[in-house]
Parts: sequence; C-alpha cells; structure tokens
Amino acid sequence: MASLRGGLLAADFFTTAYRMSGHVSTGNRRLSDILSDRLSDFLLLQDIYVSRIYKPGEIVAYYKTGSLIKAQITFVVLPTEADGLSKDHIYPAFTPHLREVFVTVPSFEIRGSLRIVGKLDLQALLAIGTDNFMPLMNATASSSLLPTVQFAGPVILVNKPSVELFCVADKD
Amino acid sequence: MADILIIDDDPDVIRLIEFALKRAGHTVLTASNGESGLSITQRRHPNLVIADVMMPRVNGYEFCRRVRAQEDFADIPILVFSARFQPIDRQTALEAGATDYLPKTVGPSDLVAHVERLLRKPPPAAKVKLGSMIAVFGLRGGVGVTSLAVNLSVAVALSRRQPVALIDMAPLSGHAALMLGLRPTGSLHKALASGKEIKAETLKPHWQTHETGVQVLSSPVTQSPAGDVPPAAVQPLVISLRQTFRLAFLDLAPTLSRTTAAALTAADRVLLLVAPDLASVQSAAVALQVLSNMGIENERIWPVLNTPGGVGGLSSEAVVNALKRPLAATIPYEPGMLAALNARRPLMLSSPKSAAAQSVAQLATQLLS
Repeated sequence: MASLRGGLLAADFFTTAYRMSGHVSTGNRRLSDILSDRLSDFLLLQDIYVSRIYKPGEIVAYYKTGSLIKAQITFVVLPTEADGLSKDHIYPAFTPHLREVFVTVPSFEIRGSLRIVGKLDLQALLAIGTDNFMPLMNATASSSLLPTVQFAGPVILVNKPSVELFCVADKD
Repeated sequence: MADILIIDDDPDVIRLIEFALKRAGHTVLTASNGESGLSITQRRHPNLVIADVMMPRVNGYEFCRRVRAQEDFADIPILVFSARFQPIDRQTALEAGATDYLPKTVGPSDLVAHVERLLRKPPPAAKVKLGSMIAVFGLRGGVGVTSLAVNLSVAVALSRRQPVALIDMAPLSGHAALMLGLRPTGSLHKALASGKEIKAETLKPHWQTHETGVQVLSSPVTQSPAGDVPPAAVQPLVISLRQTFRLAFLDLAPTLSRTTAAALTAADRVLLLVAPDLASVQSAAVALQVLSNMGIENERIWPVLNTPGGVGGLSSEAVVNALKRPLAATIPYEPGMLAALNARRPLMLSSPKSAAAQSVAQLATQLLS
C-alpha cells in the first residue's frame, strides 16, 4: 500500500542533519535509476515532511513540493526491496550472493548486506560509474551521535560519494 | 459491525481501505485531512479511527493529541497507518496517543485483521450515547432565528418529554428567555466569568427550566464582565451539552464571528434560516458559500424558509432556485406570532394548531429522526 499514490513512491531521504519523508514520481522507472540519472542534479519530491535527525519522529515542516539535491543525500530508506533495486540488480545474469558490510557516511553508520555477483572487487564497487547509489539489503542506519536513533528497511540506497569507510565482513 | 473513520489525504488509500472494511461488514466514514477527521470524530463518535501521519496542517500525531485532549474521546482506538515505517515513528505515534501503529507496507487483509483485534478489546468504560447539536443560524437579522430555536425546543420537549437544551449564543440581550417568559438569571457568560472549566457541573447553576422541560442558558441582559463567549469555550460547551442532553439547540447571532464559526463547525445540523425577501436570500446564498468553505458538508446544512412578514414575499420555488438547494422546511406566515411574542408564550403553546406551529413540529420530528 506504500506505493499506492498513482505512480508515486514513498521513501525516507537522509542528509547529515535531516530526515525527509516524501513521495517521488517514478513512472515506470526504479528510484535507484532516477537517483543515478546524471541528466538531473535534483530530485523532485512531493508532500515532503521534514524531521531533524535528533528527533526523527517529530515533523517540523511540511511542503507540497520541493527539490532535493541528489549529491546531498547520504542514503535513502525504502519500504520494499523491489523499489530500491535497479533493473540490472533484479534480473542479474548470474546468481548473486550476500556479504555483510559496514559503511560510514556523515553522521551515520550503516550495516547491511551487499548483493555481489561473481568476485568481490571493492574498487569497482565504489567507483562512481552509472550507479551512484549502492543498495544494501536488510540494512540499518544508526546515528553516530545518537546510536539509539536507527532507521531500518529492506533496502537502503547509499550515496557512494558520501561513503567515508566501507568494510566487508569475511566470508563465513 | 463498527463505525470506522479513515483519515488519509490519499484518495486511493481511502478507497482501498474502505473497500476492505466494508467487505468485512463495517460502516466507513472518511476524511481527507486531520481537521475534517477531528470534526467527524466529534460529531459521529466512531468506534475506531484509522489515521495517516503525513497530512497537511493537522498531521496524524497532532490528530491523536487533539482527540486525546478531549475526555469524551479518550477511549476511541486510533490506529495510525503510515508510510513512515520506522520504530521511532511507532514510538512517536504511541506517545501522541495512538492505540497502535501499522506501516503502510501491510496489505488490506492484514489491516482489517488488525482492526478487528482492536475492536475486540473491551472499552474501559461503557460508551455513553451522546446527544446531537442543532445550530439555528441566519446571516441576516430578523429572519426569526430565535423564534424558531425557541419553538423547536418546545416542540421537542413536548414530543419526547425529555430535557432539551436551548443556548442563547447572542453576545448581549438575546431574546430566547424573553420569548419563553423566563427572567434571565444565569448565562454562559456568568459561567465563564467564574473562571472554572466549562463542564456539566459548572453550567448547572446557570440553567433555567421552562414549564415544558426546555432548559435554557440565556445570554446576558447587560454587558458581561467576562466579555463575549470566546471561540475556545465552544468546544467544551458542546462536549458538556452532548453528555447532558439528547438534543441541544444553539441560537446563534447573525454574524460570522469566530465563536459563531466554532459553534457552526461543531453542530451536527445547521438550520440556515432565510426569509422570502431578496436581501435575506442573498445573505443565505453567501452563508451557504461560507459554510461550505468552513468544511461543513452540504448534508449538514438544512435551509429553512421562514415567513415572518405578510404578503409580497418570494415564492419558495424562487428561493430554492436562488439557493440551488432544496428547503428542509417552509414555515408559513403566522399572524398570531406577534401576539405569542408579546404574551411571552411560544407559538407551540399559544397556537399549536396553527400552520406555522405544525411546520415547526414537523421539522422537530425530522430532526429527531
């Protein structure tokens, strides 16, 4: 029911200090593809509810529309897995496997699973290619200053240029 | 089967939940924003409310806080149903007064199952049947607002033989008590001047009882030191009236002050009086527009054509055409009305067989049904 609003997807967008809950018109595209679209530096949001990170349940502002600068987004929490994966990730040529990762971005640390197809190549993974946003499955983001403030979802899209530290757990 | 109110600004979500709940045998009320949701909650007292969080102006958390602030609605289960699905959102909703929280990622069948569980929980206390509030209003003076409010209260008191309330909301020198032959001793203004919270006990010393059983809260004869009734006093007054009376009539002043607006918004029914003259019809048309802008649904507004004068008035068809609304009642001219006023004995008692009194009685029956 989360994505009901006529082609609009509800999601939580995070910057270093704010949480913005809003809707994005995705049409027949995936949000990760829209975020990685280099033809636009902005993401048009509808029905935006703004909360401060230190009190993320409290709504401090509401606006009908607004533009979010993609480069300022540190991560996005999505309600369903399918909404966050690009079509390439949904229909991979080879069977993916999951690896636990730990990522820090400004003000947050994120734990989740990375879908990897074939051999893990960190340099290739973090290189800014066509996919600016990296999906982490079953992920949790914790505020570094207020660790009890956590945001979890079936998929979190992490903005690669915001990544400070990227660690991969050893294979079992 | 329960009455369930859905508040969401997304019509698609409302449609989907409404369909699922109706299929499960429930009656569904809907509101597209928190303000309208509050108004419906106050008037209809639903068995359960499903509220979205992200709504303009009054969001879901604020809705919960405002509902819980009213003693009457402390027990209504509120299920917050939101696209914000983080644990902190659940915590915020519960702190605001929600009974439970569900993310919008759950499907309609799970939502219905959850609703059924909440409805099965026994309420802490037996639910009290609340009374209805009828506002009698005309934007132009002299159309017979007080006269109709007085005669309707008498008609209801006589037919049901149970207490009915009449509150004269005129800021000064209202005539409801005068028309009933009562000498105003107490008033809402006096109750406010006491500085006490408005509730049944604080209002009790200010009621006056008419021989028919009508309980009257007069307006002050002289200027009250408490000043006008503030808009904030209307809500507690209405709650108290609903708890005490099966039916209460609010005799409103012919101005759109904030107090009048609050009373109109809180009322279950607005009897909008119009006389068969051009100025009155024009005022009524404006009033209909204003009431609509205030979010008062059309079905709550009952236009009533009253004929206080003699010959030469517009026909009821002309009035209907001008207002583009059917009339709930037409009260014909009654030559004995003036004598009734001067005798301080309402028409319902002095000339109960007259055509005008019969029309009033018919309107009272409509209101009671």
